Amino acid sequence: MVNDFFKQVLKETPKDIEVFVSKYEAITMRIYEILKAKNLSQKDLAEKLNKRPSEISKWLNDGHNLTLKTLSKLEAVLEEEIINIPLKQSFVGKNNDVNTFSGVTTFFVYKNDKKESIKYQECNFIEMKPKLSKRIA
Amino acid sequence: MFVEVFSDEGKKVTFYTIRHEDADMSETEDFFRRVHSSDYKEDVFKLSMLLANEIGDRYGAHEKYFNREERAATALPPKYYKPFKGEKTISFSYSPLRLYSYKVSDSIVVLFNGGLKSTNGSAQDDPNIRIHFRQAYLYSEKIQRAINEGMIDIQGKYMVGFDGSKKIKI
Repeated sequence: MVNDFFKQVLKETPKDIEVFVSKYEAITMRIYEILKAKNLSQKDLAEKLNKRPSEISKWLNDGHNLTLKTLSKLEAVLEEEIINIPLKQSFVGKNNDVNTFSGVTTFFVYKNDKKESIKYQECNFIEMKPKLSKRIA
Repeated sequence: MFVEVFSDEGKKVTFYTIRHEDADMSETEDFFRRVHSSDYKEDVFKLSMLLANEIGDRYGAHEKYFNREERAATALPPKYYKPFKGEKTISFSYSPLRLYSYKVSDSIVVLFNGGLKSTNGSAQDDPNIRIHFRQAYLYSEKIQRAINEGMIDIQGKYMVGFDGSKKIKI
């Protein structure tokens, strides 16, 4: 159950705002948890970075000032990754849509020692169903 | 007055609200309706996302979010919540948006009413929000007393009245 007016506000919220809040929370929560796990206070972190505690507080509480440079400094001194970017685009193919395949589009099968090249487009995709073996009395 | 569910779709937290007898809407709906039509619409969207997605569905009522303690209640957004900075503010750098709340557990948060703070002083002296600040304190006390006296039973992410009701009279 969600209050109807609140539901309407959520629906109206632009996607970029939703993404921003989510990323901001993920980053600051990650830093918060690293500090907690390493039993470090903001003062300790300030000492490690040779900065004033007020500056650290500004970093940790100020999403807008959390630049890539700041994040790199934090990762370096905390010896932990704060942001992890996937190297490859993940691929999700639909098994009944051959057009979703890109890159390697053929594969080889061997039939009586004869190599045959088959294109994915020529394949029929069959849903695999579990088969129960007959119990022998 | 009653304590009733405001939103329970998140996996982590159920948000409750207060509704007065004979009232057309809950205290929290009244808050959202008022601030939604203000100049701070973007802040309202951000606060809504913070509640529904981050606190409600992802992180729960984490201590990080409840750092603006004002007597028994807590005001959201958290202190120094800078995503709001840069938008139109009245007389100070952070967002003037205040939604009072009471964290019952990591899975239960009661949302009250609030408004837009118009001065740089304390909440209890601010003409726009002092009434909500005082009410939040009274509501929080009432809820805690009802829990202590067994009038409200906490069951996971839900509160249930002593008679099994989900809409709890306090």
